[in-house]
Order: sequence, then structure tokens, then C-alpha cells
Amino acid sequence: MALAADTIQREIPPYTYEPGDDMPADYRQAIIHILTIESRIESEYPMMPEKTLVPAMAMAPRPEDWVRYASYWAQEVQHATYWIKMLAELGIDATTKEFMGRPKPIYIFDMRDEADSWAEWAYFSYCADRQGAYMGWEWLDSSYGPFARIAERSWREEEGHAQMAHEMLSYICSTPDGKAFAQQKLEKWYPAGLDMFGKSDSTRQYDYIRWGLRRRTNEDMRQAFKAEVDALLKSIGLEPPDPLANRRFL
Amino acid sequence: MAAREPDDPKIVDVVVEPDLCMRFQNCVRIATRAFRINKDTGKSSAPGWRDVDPALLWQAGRSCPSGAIRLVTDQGYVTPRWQETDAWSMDKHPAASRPHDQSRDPYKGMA
Repeated sequence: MALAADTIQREIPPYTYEPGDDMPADYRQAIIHILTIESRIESEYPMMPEKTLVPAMAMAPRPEDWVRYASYWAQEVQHATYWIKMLAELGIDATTKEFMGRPKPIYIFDMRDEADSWAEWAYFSYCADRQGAYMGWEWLDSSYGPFARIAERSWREEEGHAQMAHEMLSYICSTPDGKAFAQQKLEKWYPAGLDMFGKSDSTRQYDYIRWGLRRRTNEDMRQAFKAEVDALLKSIGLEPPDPLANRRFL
Repeated sequence: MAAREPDDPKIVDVVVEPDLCMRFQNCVRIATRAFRINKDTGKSSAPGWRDVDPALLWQAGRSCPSGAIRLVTDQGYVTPRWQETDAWSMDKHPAASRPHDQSRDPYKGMA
């Protein structure tokens, strides 16, 4: 059964641990797990531009979209260095073929690799970058110093990326045909967006809240995401789909 | 606690280059009272830059993805985004390990 975040007592205060500190084994493993997800995903920006830059440039409808996307991409490259550095401080090399050859931990990133239109690229950032912003917010006052230091930048900059995605989608929805196309694609991306936050009854999330690595449960974040995204979609004339349809994780 | 730049330049104006502003709007989220969005163009300007802590202006400049924010200082123009990129070093990384008493400034790493 899922628990509410405010029923879970935080046990480790902000800024308690630095990478070289002696820390509980489970806590250290949790840090590595979080960083592995972040690094595996975002290191694709510098290490696999054929997936993260070239297709978007080919699909971008206007030259100004090239410039905006390239700015976004460059900032994601910078973010990749955060996670690579933070893993290196824990003795893990995240730049190897072996590390980058692991499956991606969240399936929406595989969907991006198969995106066939600018609308799908927009939905990818609409969801994934917004989720990145949510995770950044989770780390404000984290018990792990490097997370706490990078939280504000990650939060604010990923919010900017989600803003870019909203502009991309707004442009597509500026014509009736574009809006109809975007609505059709939304049926595919909306459930993937909600699934990004994982299972509502995952036991790991409660450990993370107790250890000061998270502030909200998966379901808290999912509902906040849904409320924000639904309002934005409606503001440009799109109708959010049934939130339970085509979901993989509830 | 306000962050201080190492050579402590005094900001005398803040310019958002309209051709470079790509409407990410990080600036209005970071330094809310300093920046405003033009409702017609979606681009920002900085009419209220005098009303906020200079540290927030540096943060906004560093987080502007397209480097559109230029700070005019008593030591010359600075584009914080590119200034930071010029100095980018994994050894001075913002998230890198450091003593606990130096651990509360998320924008300080590259200075």
C-alpha cells in the first residue's frame, strides 16, 4: 500500500554526506543508483549526438528551432558532466562503453530514439525534462552534499527545457492540422510521462525520503506533474487523455 | 547569503540580447523581480535588475542556455554563461566534493 510522504520521518539532515565520507552501505548504493540513472540518460547528449542532436536538427521546422534546440542540447551536455563527475567521486567511470551500453532505465528515453516528428520531440522534453526539474527540486537540502549543490541549477535549467517544449508544441498546435496531429501523438506520450515516476507502492521511495534523498513519493510527483501538464495542454487546445489508459506502472 | 564574484565587479546594467533570447525563461524564475517577459515576443528584459541581489543576476546569466544575458560591470561586459563555459573544468565542478562549510552555493563552482 502506498504511504503519504508526510507520514515518513526524515532521518538524515541536509548536507550530511560528501563523497569521501564513511556512509551506510545502503545509502551509498542509493546514491549510486540515482546517479547511474541520471548519468546513463544525460550522457547520451555528449556521447551519442546521433541520437540526441542530429535527428532533432533534421526535424526542426524553422531555423530558430535549430538555435533553440542547440542551446538546450549544449546545456544538457553540461548537465552530463555533473553526473559523470559525481559518479567519478564514488569510484565509478560513467564514460565507458560498458556503462553506456546498459539499457536505459526509463522507457520514455527509448521512445525518443524512435521519435518520428517534431511533435514527438516536443513531447519528449515536455515530459522528460519536466521530470528532471521535479527531481532537481527533490534534492534541495538533500542529505548528500553534491545533490544539494546541483539541485537548484538542475531544477531551474530543466524547467527552462520544459518551457522550450511547450513553445515547440504551441507552434505545432497553431494550425488545426498540427493540433490534430499533436492530439494523436499525445495518446502515446501521456501515459509514458505518467509512468516516468515509477510504481506508486515502490518500497525504495520510502527509504529515499527517510534518508533525505527525496521529499515526495512517486505518486505525489506524478499527481503534481499531471496537474501541471494538464493545465498547459489545455491552454493550447489539447485534451489530456485518460490517465489510466496504456499505463505500464501504476 | 549573497554570493560574491572573486574580483567583485559592480553591475551597472543588465542587457538581454533580443536576438539571442530563446525564451527559456530561466531568468524570470531565478531572479523574478529583475526580469520581465514581453507578452508579444516571449523574450525577456531586465527592467528590475537593481531590485535584486546581484548574486541572482549572476545565477540567471549562468543558467541562460543561449547566453543572452550580458552583465555590464565596472570591469567591462560579461556574459556569465560563456564565462563559466570558458572556465569549465571537472576539477572545479559545481557539484564536486568540497568541505561542508563551503557547500551551500550552487553557482560557485567555476569561479
